[in-house]
Amino acid sequence: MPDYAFIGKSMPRVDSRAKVTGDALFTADLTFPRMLTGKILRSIHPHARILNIDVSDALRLPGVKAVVTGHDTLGKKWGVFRYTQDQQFLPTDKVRFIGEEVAAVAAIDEDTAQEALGRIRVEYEILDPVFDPMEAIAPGAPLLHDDFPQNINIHVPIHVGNVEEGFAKSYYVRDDTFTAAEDSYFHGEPYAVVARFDMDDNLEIWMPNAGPHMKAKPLSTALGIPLNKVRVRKITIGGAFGGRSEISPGDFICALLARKTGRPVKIVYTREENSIATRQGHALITTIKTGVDRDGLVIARDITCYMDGGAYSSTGPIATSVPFLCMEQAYKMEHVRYDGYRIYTNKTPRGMIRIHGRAFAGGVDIQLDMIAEHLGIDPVDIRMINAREAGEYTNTKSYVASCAMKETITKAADRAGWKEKWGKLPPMHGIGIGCNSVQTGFPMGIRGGSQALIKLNEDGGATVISGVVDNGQGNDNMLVQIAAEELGIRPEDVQLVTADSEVTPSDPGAYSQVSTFIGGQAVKNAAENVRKLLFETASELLKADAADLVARDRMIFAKGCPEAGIPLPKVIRRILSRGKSVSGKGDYWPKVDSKREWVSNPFGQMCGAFSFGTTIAEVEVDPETGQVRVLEVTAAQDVGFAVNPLVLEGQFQGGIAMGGQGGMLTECHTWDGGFVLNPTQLEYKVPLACDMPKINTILVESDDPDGPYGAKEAGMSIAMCAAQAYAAAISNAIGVYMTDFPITPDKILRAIAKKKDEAGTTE
Amino acid sequence: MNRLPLEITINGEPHSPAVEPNRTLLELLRDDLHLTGAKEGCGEGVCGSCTVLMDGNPVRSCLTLALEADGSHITTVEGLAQGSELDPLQQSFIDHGAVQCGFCTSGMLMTAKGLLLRDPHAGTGEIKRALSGHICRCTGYTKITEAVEAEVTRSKKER
Amino acid sequence: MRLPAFAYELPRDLDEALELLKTYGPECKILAGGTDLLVRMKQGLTKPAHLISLKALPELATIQESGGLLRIGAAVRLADILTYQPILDRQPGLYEAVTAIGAPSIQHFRGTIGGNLCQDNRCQFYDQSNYFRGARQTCNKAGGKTCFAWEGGSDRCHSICQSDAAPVMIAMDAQVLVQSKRGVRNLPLAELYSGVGERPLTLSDDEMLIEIQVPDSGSGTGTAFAKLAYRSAIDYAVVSAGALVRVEDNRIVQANLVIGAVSRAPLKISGVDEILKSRPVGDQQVLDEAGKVAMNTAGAFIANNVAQPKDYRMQMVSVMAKRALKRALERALSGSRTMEEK
Repeated sequence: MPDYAFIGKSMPRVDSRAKVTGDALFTADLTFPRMLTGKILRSIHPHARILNIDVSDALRLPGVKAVVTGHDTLGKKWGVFRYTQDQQFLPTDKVRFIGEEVAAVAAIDEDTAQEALGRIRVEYEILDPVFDPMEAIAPGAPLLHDDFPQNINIHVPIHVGNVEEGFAKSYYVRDDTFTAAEDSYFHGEPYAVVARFDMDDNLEIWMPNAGPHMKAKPLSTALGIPLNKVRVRKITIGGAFGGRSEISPGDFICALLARKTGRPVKIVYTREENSIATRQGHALITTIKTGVDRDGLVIARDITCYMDGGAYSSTGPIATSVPFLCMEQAYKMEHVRYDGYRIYTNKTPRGMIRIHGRAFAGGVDIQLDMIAEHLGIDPVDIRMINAREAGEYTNTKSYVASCAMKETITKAADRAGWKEKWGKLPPMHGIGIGCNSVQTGFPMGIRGGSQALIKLNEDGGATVISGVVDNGQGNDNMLVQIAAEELGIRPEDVQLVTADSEVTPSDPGAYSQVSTFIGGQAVKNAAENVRKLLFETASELLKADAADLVARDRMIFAKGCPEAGIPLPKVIRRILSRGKSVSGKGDYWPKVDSKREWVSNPFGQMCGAFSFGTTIAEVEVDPETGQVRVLEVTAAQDVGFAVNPLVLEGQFQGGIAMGGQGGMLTECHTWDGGFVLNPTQLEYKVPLACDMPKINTILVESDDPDGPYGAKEAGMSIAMCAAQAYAAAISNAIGVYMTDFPITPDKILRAIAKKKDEAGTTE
Repeated sequence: MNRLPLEITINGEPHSPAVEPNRTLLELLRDDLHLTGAKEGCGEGVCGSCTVLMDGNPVRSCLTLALEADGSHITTVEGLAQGSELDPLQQSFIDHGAVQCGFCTSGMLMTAKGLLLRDPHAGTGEIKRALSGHICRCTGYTKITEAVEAEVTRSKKER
Repeated sequence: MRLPAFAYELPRDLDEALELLKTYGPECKILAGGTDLLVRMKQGLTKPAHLISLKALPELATIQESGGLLRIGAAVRLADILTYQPILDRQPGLYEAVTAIGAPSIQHFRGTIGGNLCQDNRCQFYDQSNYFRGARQTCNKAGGKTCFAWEGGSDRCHSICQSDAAPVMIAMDAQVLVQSKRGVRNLPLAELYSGVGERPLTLSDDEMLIEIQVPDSGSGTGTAFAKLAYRSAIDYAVVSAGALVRVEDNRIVQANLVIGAVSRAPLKISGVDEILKSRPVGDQQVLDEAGKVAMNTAGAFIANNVAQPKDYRMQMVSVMAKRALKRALERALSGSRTMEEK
């Protein structure tokens, strides 16, 4: 292992200090002179035609400066993809879910804005709603969008090989259905937007986001202004988890109000609005048919997945594909057929979420356990038999260059004491395993690459300009670590200018944990280019070969002679004195198949690298109450290379809380027709400190050939397979395979009772 | 509504604003005094992001009327550091990786601070119980607990 | 979230407070810790024109013992109950109940025992924002004519009393002092609750809770509180149970069981006393029978007012009843009244 100064070291994050002092500014913390408060009027019907909106009474209220409706827009429909353009940010024709934006107000204070909302009169023609996805695709169901017959928003068909042939030659075939209600993001920070137009009519806008460049383009289109007049600014962000990736109607509305009033406008969502009017996770019905040979190797798998997409597409094609893709990356299959359907219903739109399709993921692994039981083999062994290996291709033809899946399985099993425990635990005490894989990024066309610019000051400090955004996961720190390492300076010498769509070059955004692999790589390349420049001059001054030089701790020296080095500022000044600037750029575009498309051509290289994770959970179930006490969780992930172990441990722990403890035990939205009954953290049960188990984290490094320092995605594999491990452990504890998630105590008791009944009848 | 007089000390500084009865302590801090460290994460006392210390005890500032804090000493996250010198608890959060997105951080710090003021030898169980009134979506709570435990250990050594 | 406008009253003594109550009656509310009231005001569930603060009435926040009674002022903070040595020493059931309320950083330093006992009833259809409720029919509790929580609708309100302190305190035969300009009333805590969801307390508009009196249990008495919740803190109970068991000469001479979180008022389960008194102390089945009685009693009341399914909650009534009774019995037999080492 190279002798790195900062890479691979556990170091505190550079953004932590401002957060512990309260200095870090989130969107709702911003104030500007003459700023107005904006508020949004939302639909009270799940499905209705808008006949008329009368805002005259609202405009008459003193203190109200502007009111906007669909009539203030260009009326265009927008979509993440060209073939999913189904949403107007302020609708002119219909509302399609309770909570949808209908109008908005900017006023001198919140009370006035709220009162103004109450004075807006909307005339609706109520239409029949549909809430159940299976009802929505049945004949005669109310149609949400004219262009999408049967309410089928997306159909992803991935057919490889011949599954019927595969089943025919399988030793054992089984067919199971798994379901899950929707989960939800529950970011710490409720959504907020601040927008203002400057003296040159440029839009400056702040909001929590997972990619400022992804927000800027649709804003430019919707507002009819060129991209270089839209500046999405850097801001501290309180979590994204996949739900803040694409433009939100709130962004557009705030900009519209700012333009109309000529003043800065701030809109802050309530917790309820964050839950019902941004994004939720998909509810899923997944049917999985799997055929295996005598040893448990999967020969064929046939999966149909119905995803409850809510009222608009959002990132539909991605969300409909990712659960399948994660599985095909993790596990080998000779033949596979996947039909994923994303269905419109009159509910909040659903997006990509860190725990992609818990019914799908949980289902695949629970079924492997069922198969293992039938064959009389250990769940760990059946994972090992089917585990992905490096050098293989996935069914959709992605080459997997680095893979330590098996190592994550054996290390996790070892640490968790699997051999001593499996099959030997007392009743109501169980252990379970889950495995998954996450793609490090996906094809994003013209936005698939990242570029970084670095300039050095004459005193040796550096400024790194990069489009990478930090949602709280530590991306800013990652860039500093890389820049400091490659430039031979210290982290405190590095200033960041990031995530600003005016200043920073395009970057794909923080999706699928791609920031290190692509954004970090671009910074690494830029820093290497700057270093090359420095070494050219330093080699002259030191009379040494550039290839023998080392930059470290603000000095440049020949290898082995650190005491005979030159201070960096001296080299910089020498270059400047020769009339040359000391700066550099670098970019990175992952080697993906640009022809790969989610729906029309889901084949080809998906991304540059894949991560692999295994989680093992040990639980105890109270047979009287059905409550689950999680004793210990062990998570092992192949992260390629751990750039900052301290940060990665935190990601694993957070992933287990979200995917396992919350995702599998307590988290789901409950509904009354189109109404969310639990929009706040009181009734939507995100786990608390005392609920969390002991967690062991294991970092496995497969050293990816393309990742910076060998690094790839870190954390999301664990979030996903933690859900699977919890489901498996509970199933093991009670001796019943659970197929409906989350696994709440009432479901556990019902399963235990049913098992007792069935045992009674067979006696 | 008429404004009523209020005498309140915030981070050691006396203030005498005139406030409307329905002004919450959180609004006073964030909107009137621009101390934005305390956050509104839910507005109904559940998430803990608005927590400040009132006479040394953690309270939900979103559910406390400013007038109810009349005569009190309020400590917000901005009042933990002494000038540029961080409170050891803040430093511990940084050093232990207890801060990810940072939205819950100020609330966590204030409750932890309140706990340690009452019980400098608080054990893991008490720490977790104290922190259980706070919702964090990022960290899974492990490193936050470790950061507080480490501060208990460090301050024990100091004595 | 903004609070609506109101006038803030700061009475300097109890008489002033009672005078304000008399003057403003239904247009005012008592502000103790505010952790329940202020949430309701933000949601638009209640819009009192006046709030009467208890901030300047320290006389309502004292705990004393006199004449075999523990006298707890209605405005005593939950944190102060948890550090009051005699309660730690002799009232484990009360200690368990107060510990279970919400979370330390939410209620314990601002919330009061009176506030917890007098909190408004809850229902998943009612405890929602203005926006949510404005998009639907108005329910009985909100002044309308329907109940979403009762299958087939209902002309009465099926909300729940979610006080964690009430079940065990009622099991302990607590009394309350209620005062107005008209005088003081002394009544069993159980009678503070009307059983009417729309108006859960029997207090008149000009009355306020002053004090709760808990009889000193004496040796041979055990109390316990069991709460079922999905998370370790913050949550309201899915089901709860408060129990008191008194033993003399190795026989059970009294058994009180009160089930919380299932009905419009804390639910006293009659019949438990007879069952437990009629059997020897070691009989294990007696607890099962008591649980069944509790479950059957609760069954008539359980509604769709929380997310957890009704049949599950029914079963849990039995489980929590048994756990509370068992623990109370163990404490009665051991003669130890302190909290056991965990």
